[in-house]
Formats: sequence, C-alpha cells, structure tokens
Amino acid sequence: MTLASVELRVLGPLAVLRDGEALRLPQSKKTRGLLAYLAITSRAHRRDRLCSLLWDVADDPRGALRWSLSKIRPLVDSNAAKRLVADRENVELKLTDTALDWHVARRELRAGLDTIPDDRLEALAASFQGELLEGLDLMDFDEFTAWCAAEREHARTSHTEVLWALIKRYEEDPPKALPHARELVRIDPLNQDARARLIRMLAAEGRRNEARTQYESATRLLEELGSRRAGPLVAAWHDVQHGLEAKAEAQAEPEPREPREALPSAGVSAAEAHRQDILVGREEERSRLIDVLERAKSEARLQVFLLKGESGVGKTTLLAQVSRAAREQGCTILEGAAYEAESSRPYGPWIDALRRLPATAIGKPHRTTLARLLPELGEANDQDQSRDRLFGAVVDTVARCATAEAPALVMLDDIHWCDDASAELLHYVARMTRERPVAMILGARDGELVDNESTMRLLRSLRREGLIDEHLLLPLTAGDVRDLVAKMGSCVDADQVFAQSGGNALLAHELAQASSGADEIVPKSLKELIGDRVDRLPAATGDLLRWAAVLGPSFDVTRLTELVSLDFDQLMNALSLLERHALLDSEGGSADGYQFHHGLVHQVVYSEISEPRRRLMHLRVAKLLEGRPDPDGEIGIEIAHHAGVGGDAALAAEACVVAGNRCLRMFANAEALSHARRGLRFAEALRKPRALQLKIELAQIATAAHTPEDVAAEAARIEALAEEALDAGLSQHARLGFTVVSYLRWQVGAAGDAHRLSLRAEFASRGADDGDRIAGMAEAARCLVKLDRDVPQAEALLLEARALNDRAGRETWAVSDGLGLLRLYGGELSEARTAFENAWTTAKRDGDRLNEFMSLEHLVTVAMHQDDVDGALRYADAIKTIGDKLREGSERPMGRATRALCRYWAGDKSQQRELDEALVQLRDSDAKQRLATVQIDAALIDSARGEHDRARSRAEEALRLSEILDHGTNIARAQWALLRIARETGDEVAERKYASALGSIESIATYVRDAVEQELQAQPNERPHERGVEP
Amino acid sequence: MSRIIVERSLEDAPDFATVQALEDAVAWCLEEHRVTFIRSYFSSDRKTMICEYEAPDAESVRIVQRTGKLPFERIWTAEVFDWSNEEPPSE
Repeated sequence: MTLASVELRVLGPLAVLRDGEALRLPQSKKTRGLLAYLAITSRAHRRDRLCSLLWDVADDPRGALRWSLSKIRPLVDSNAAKRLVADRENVELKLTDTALDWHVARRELRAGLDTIPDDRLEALAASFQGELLEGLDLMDFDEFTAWCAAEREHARTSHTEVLWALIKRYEEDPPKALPHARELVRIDPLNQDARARLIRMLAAEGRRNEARTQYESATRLLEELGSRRAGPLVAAWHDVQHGLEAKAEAQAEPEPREPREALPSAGVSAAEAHRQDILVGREEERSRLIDVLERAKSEARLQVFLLKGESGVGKTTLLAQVSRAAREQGCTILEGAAYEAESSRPYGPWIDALRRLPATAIGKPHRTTLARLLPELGEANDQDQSRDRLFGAVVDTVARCATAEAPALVMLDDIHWCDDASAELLHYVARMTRERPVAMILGARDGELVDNESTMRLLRSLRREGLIDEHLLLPLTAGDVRDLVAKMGSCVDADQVFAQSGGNALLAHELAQASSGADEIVPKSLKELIGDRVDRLPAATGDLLRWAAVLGPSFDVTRLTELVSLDFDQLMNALSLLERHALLDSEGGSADGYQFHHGLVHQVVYSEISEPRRRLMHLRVAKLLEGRPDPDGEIGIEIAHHAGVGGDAALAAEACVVAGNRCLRMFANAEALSHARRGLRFAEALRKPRALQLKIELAQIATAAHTPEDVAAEAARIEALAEEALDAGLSQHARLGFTVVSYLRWQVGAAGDAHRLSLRAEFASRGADDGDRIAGMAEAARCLVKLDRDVPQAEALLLEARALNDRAGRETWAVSDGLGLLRLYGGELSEARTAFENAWTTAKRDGDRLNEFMSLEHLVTVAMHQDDVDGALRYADAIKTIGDKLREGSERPMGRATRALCRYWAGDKSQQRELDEALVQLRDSDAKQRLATVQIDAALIDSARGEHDRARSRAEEALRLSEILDHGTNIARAQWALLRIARETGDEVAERKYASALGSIESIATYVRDAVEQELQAQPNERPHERGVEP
Repeated sequence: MSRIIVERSLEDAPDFATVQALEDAVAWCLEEHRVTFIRSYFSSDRKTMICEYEAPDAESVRIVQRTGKLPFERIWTAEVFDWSNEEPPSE
C-alpha cells in the first residue's frame, strides 16, 4: 500500500497538499496558526504551552486546543499514517524530511549556496512564493507573533541570499539575472545596493526608461520614509545618466510599461459597476432581513439576526442594502464594523457607530459618560467610575433611537473580529433592550467565529436565551452569476466565471471585471486580480493606496495627507481614481473618512507591501503621531500598533502604557491586559533603566486588568522588579512596584489607584535622610494598618522600607513592628509573632521603651489569639514593668490593664477589680482604641463565665468608642461579642441586630473576619468556644 | 470630637516658620487620624507652647506627635467653657 503524500507550504500563504492537490484549510485562523507552528517547529510541545501560545485568555483553553487538533487531523492523517501524535501531555506533528518547503530550503542553504547547482537554486528561489505564512497574523497573541516575526525574518534573509547568489551567477547573462534582481527589489525595496544593481542591469539592457522609473521610485520611497539616498544608488543613476553602461542606448528601446489611468475598456460601465455594489440573487435573505426590521417594529421587541458566510460571499453588500432600506424607512442606524487590525481598540465598532449618529441622538445626561468613548463629547466625568454606567448610557442611547414608528437598527459587521469589550457591550444592550423596537443585525465569517472567544460567548448566550435568528449565506448560484455578469455589462462567459469563482460574489465580480472585453476569463486568484489592478495604477496613486493600507482598513484622509507628498488636487484626483477602481470607498457620514472597498482588498494591498517597507511605513506613522496631544490616550492605541509593527520597541512600549491605561478607563480589561502583555514584550528589548520603568508601569496595568492565576509568583516577579528599580535609583518606580505587589496580594481590585497612593507615600516620606525616610515610611504604614485604612498601601511602604533596610544592613523597629501588624491583620499569627519579637529586640537594643511597650502590646494580642496563656502572661508582666516606667500617656494604665486582663483570663478572678481600676485610668488618659481592645477581650471572658451584664456593658462601651474612631476591626469585634452575649441570653432582637450589622461589614482584619464568619454560621447551641476560656 | 491640648517645653525658641514646617511634616498623619490643628499659644520667651487640636481622642494626638517626633510634656482632653457662646437667659 502506498501512503498518500502530505506536503505543507509555508513560504507564502499556508497550504496543505495531499498527493499534490491543495486541500481546503480550516477557516479558523488559530487552527491554521497551530498547524504552521507544529509543522515549522517540528518537535513535541506540551499542551499547556500550546494553550498559552494561542488561547491564553480562553475559558477552556484545553478544549479549544482539542477542537483545533480535531480540525488538523483530517488534513495530515490518513488511515495508514498518523502524523499528528497527541497524548494527554504532548502534541507533535511528524512530517517527512521533504514535506515542508521551508525545512527543505533551510537544509539546502545550510549545506552552502556554492554547492547548489543553478537549476536547483532557481527552484529554491521559486519556492519563496511570498512572505512566510502570508496573512496568518495573530496580533493578539504575542508569543505567536514574536515567533512568526523571527521565522519571517529568517525566511526573508534566506530568500535574499538565494536571489543575490543567482544575480551574481548570471552576471554575464543579464536577461536571466533580471527577474531575480526585480524580485530582490520587490522583497527589499529599501536595499539600495539591490536597487542600484537593477538600475545598472536595466540600463545595460537598454531599458533606460525603466531604469529611470526604478530610480525615481526608490527616491520617492526613501523620501517618504525619511531616509537618504546612499552612495550605490546615486552612483548607479549617475553612471546610467552619463551613458557609461548604456551600451545599447542607440538601439531601439522597447516601449516602457507606463502606468495607465483607466481600467481595460469594458468602458465606464464596468468601473461604475464596482461602485454600485450590484446585488444579485439574495432575494430571500434580503426579505428576511427586512422582516427583522418589520418585526422589531410590529412586536416592539428586540430582534437579533446573525448573517454568516465565508469571506467575499456578499454579506457586507447585503447588509449595506438593508441599511439603505432602513434609512428610507426613517430608522436611526448604529452602524459599525470590527477590523482585524483593531482588535485591541476597545469598543471600536461601537465608537464608530455612535460617532455616526446624528448629534441629537445622544441625550445630554449621557454625554459626560459617553465621553469616555467619544472624547469629542467633552470632558469625561471622573465620578462615572463604573462600567455599568457606561453600558447604561449606550443602552439609553439605543433606546432613545427606537420609536414605535421606526425601530433602531444596530448593525455590526465582521463581529468575528470584535474586541472583548464590544462583545460584552453588545450582549448587555441585547439584554437591556428586549422590550424595545430594536433590530440587531450582525455579520460574521462563520469559520473564523470560533477564534473569537468573547463573541462565541455572546452568541452562545443569545442562542440559549432564544434571542437570535441565524442564516448562512451560501455562494451565488450559476444563475446569480449570469445576472451579475449581465448587470456589469460584461460579455465574458458567465459559466466560466461561475466555475472559477465557485459562486464567491467578490471573486466573481473581480473575474468579470478583469476579463471584460475578453472572450475568455483568465483564471486568477482574488489576490492576483486585485494585485493586477493595483499594478496598473499610476505610481503615486499606488503609493497612496499602500499608505492607506498601512493606516488600516478604514482611515482618515487628513492623516493620509501628512504621509504622502501630494498636493491637495493630486490627492483628490488619486482618491477619486481609487474610488472609481473600487479599491476605496468614502465613508458615509464622515467628510474625511475612507475605507477599503472590501476587507480582502485591504488584505491584498497590505500583504503586497514588502516586509521591510511595511515596517518603515508603520514606523513613520508612529513617529508622525508621537508627541501629539493625547489626553484620552486614543492616539496611544494607534501608536502602539504602528510602533509595534515598525519595530520601535521604546515607542511601542510607551504607547502600550498609554493605550493600556485608556482601556482601563474604558473598563475594557481584556484589551488593557493585551496592551500590557504586548508592551512587556517590547520592554524586554530595551535597556535599563527605561526597561525597568516600563515593566513596572505595564505590570500595574496588567494587575489592574486581570488577576493572575498564580498571584504569589506574579507578586514575587514584580517585587524583584521593584527591588531592581531601587538598586537603579528609580525610587518612584520602585515605590510603584511595591504598591502593585501589595494590591495584588490584598486583592482589593484598586491597583489602578496605585500611582495616586504611591504619591501620598512619597509625600509621607519626603525630605529626610535614608534612615529617617525608612522610619517615616514604616511609621506611615503602621499608622495605616492600625487604623484599618489602605492596608495594601501599608504593605507597599513596608516592602520598600524593608528592601532599603536590607541594602543598608539596618534594622528599624517600625519596619519589624509594621510587618508584624500586617501579618496579624492578614491572620498569619506565627509570622506576626516572629516580627513582633524582632521589633521587641530592636527596641531593647535602641533603648526605646515606648517602642518596646508597643511591641509587647502586640505580642500579648497574638499570644491571646494563639491561646498561649503562658506566653501572654510573660509578655503582660514585661509590659506592666515598662508601662510603669513611662511617664506621660496611656502606657502606664494600659500596662496595668493588660497584665490584669491576662491574669483574669488565666483564671485569677480577683484580677477583675485590678482590671477595672486600670480601665478607669485608661479612660482618663483618653486612649479609646486601647480601652476598646481591652474591653472587648474582657467582655468575651465575662460572657464565657456567664457574667452577661458586665460583658454587655464592656462590649457596648467598646462599640461606642470604636465607632467614634471609625475603627472597623474593633467595631466588628465588639459586635461579635454582643452577638454572642445576645445568643447566650436568648435576646433575639439583639441577636438579629448584631448579626445583620456584622453581615454588612466590609473592611476588617482577616483574623477577625474568620472568627466573625464562624460565629455567624454557628447555630446558637453550637457556638465556637472563645479561646478555651472556662467559665 | 474632643478638644485636645498639647503642652510643650522648648529649649530653642523656634520661629513660626519652623513650627509650621513641623506641622506640615505630619499633615498626612494628622489627616489619617482625623486630627485637626486649631491654634497654638506661645509664652513670651517662646519656650513654652500650648497647641490645641480637635481629634477623636487624646491618644490619636499622642500618636501623631510621636510619629512626627514633636516634643511634648503632656497631652490631655479639655472641656471647653466658652461663655460667649452661652445662650442668653430666656426672658
């Protein structure tokens, strides 16, 4: 039995061939990416690695990987050969040595170019059919993108080497060398040596006009990109001009291929036909879509419709027709589209849709809220710190557009590229406008939907709720294609067009267009057809189109004017020519807005720009935008994209910080995280100190956007960065880093405020020497923990203070005591005790009795919570001794009260009198927190001994004092004691009162929260026993 | 809120700017403890100073003074008798 051969091609668009025949690839881009990755890397990968490569934020990454593998298997496996080997842990694609074009090329090149015979070298050159994995960009997946960029660079260098080798081999045979020189210039248009060589060859062949065109094209390109002409290019042109190499000058020169203005002459009608978006067939679909509008109106309820289909099948044209019909009915339309290159621009389609609304459609109360999306509406209201308000404002705006006479139409196209935030907003709007006359019509490429986790989630949910109607748009029938050809006024054989296009509307249209006037159609791919059309444009217009492609599928013409060296009239002429050629369309509702006629047209034009040129063009756009006023961070998102592709790591990382912060302000956490991750990748390429600063700023964004799976590991990573920043003298960034770490650990979801809080810390510790500064920071931190305020901030200060201490080999009492307080707050009792013991030792060393007293006070608290009676008594004796030596303040009565309390707790009932006398003194010294703390402990002991009246009176006093101080932890402890007393005395009213009060408490120390929760859950007859105290 | 008095003995007679700077240094701590500075009185030789604060308790003021390393002799809670604010006797 012979095995079916399987070949993979990656030097160009990805292709899989079985016995030489190309197979239809999965439409899911991630699946194709995975296949390419497995093939090129050709080794086993752990499943979790592959998940993190392409599904890092998916709900079920392993499930998504399994699904993709199931789509790859039929392509590469047969009954006789299992090439995709996958077990529970690993996945590997095992191909033969000759199955992958890129591997073959690499192997041959490794052996040395000189060893390769001419014909084989020609074949190698021909195997490079475009950029490696052309069009297979997965911009949101940084690891994949980085891997792909490196492979592409490698492939391009190899291709360049092969072409140079051929040019040199055919030095004496210019006609054979010329195609390779042209190809070299095409893939590396900025390489002035290559361009110079081509110019000399053309001149030597007597094609001086073409040589001139090449020289002018290089000059224009270099000027546009801000580069200078260098020696070889200038010298080559100089030589050509002076005829030194123009041996054949006297000979008849072939007519140069001048660009032509018009398309081949099926006349204007064919060109016009492009503009008219001819719709053939689709009657059923059109009436179903109109019916969606009708039902929204007649039932006054939300109708959702999803129009699916492959790319180019005619979805967008159909949606445009429905949009026109809706407009004629007087409907207000919110119309937008998602773009692949804009998936990190949160709410992109919604912003476009809202921006196109008439000015009166957005109610005054919502303008400041919606200004987060549309900065032109004015200053955003900083009080509107909630995503619900933002979503609510959009819902109200949609609802306001919907009337009984004319429903509102929300029409979003290409939702398979929708960003997370847009998908969530769409879902929210759908849920909240169910009882309104709203029609929602969505368009998507069905095969690519599966790659978009958030859109899939939205659709699953709408399906579950029975809210959505779906329709798969099939290719055109033979009859439809005949209609199309006839309507276009083309005399080409419609059946041939149908056979070639397979009913794909865009391809059929392009084939009929290209072959107008000819008897037979020339079989070409869509890419070739559009490429031909672009090639026939005048050079300056072609360049304009390329700049437009770099700006994106839709763009602002004023931005374009800044990039090209055309005056206004030339620009307008070029734009109208591009419109006539159905390459661009002006956007309705915007004076300066243009968009590519179809996403695929954009893709073709963009992919035809060589990689180095593309990079420089993006870089130029980034540099153009850099430094522009950008209070809302809107431009930052653009810069992040252009600088990223352009390869300016510093600019890209900085823009990612701006973009990430903008996303956070817009509550678009997934996009913020994606910017932070991308920024981190760029920051890796930078040097210190800038790299450190950016990494910390990006870590702040990532932490605010998303809680990492392994909090401890992430906290340790950021803490190491902060310490590095400290060593590098970047004190502000070190502080920011420590603050991020603490917020991460305390999980309070306020890391976005870290910067503001770190400024406060800066204020708290300003203007002192190192020792004072450390003590100042630690004192500030102690103060925050003791007051139950901003505990994460306290931890940040203490981490920084400890790091500074470690570097100076210093021990500071406030740092140890502060860390002890933090650990106690967090319920880590033994760690707290160790820290307080250290603090006590330091205070003794410093001869500071007051600090010694405070450490002992904390040690007593810990020992009591650990039920360590002996330990508590030991500390209490020490505290009494020191308290007696302190003259002013509350320490003396507190020392006395603490010792009496511990002895009373240990069973010495005679201490009650001593305790109460000490409490009188403590009251006189007006130290409410200390008094409350002792009273609560005493109340719990009394209550356990059945002394309920006394216990209640103690706890009530503690509660009153703690409320005056607004001290959450002691308020909770006092209420907890009162709840227990109420249960023990059967006072149901008080029990309900304190149980309800405790249920609503938010910010208290963990060690108290645990005890409170236990008490709340306990039945009255099975209460936990307080610290083993015997009645 | 209570009225709290801080008594200080000062070796070097400070000027107002120095006093202000000391207060500014603990402004953050004062705020966290909800302590508000009201006024200060100096003896004519500027070696004795009485400061008046409003605070939840005397201990809060003690903590602030200690944190800011401000010298003090005694801190106590005062009861205020302000005859000018007495209600006029009803007619």
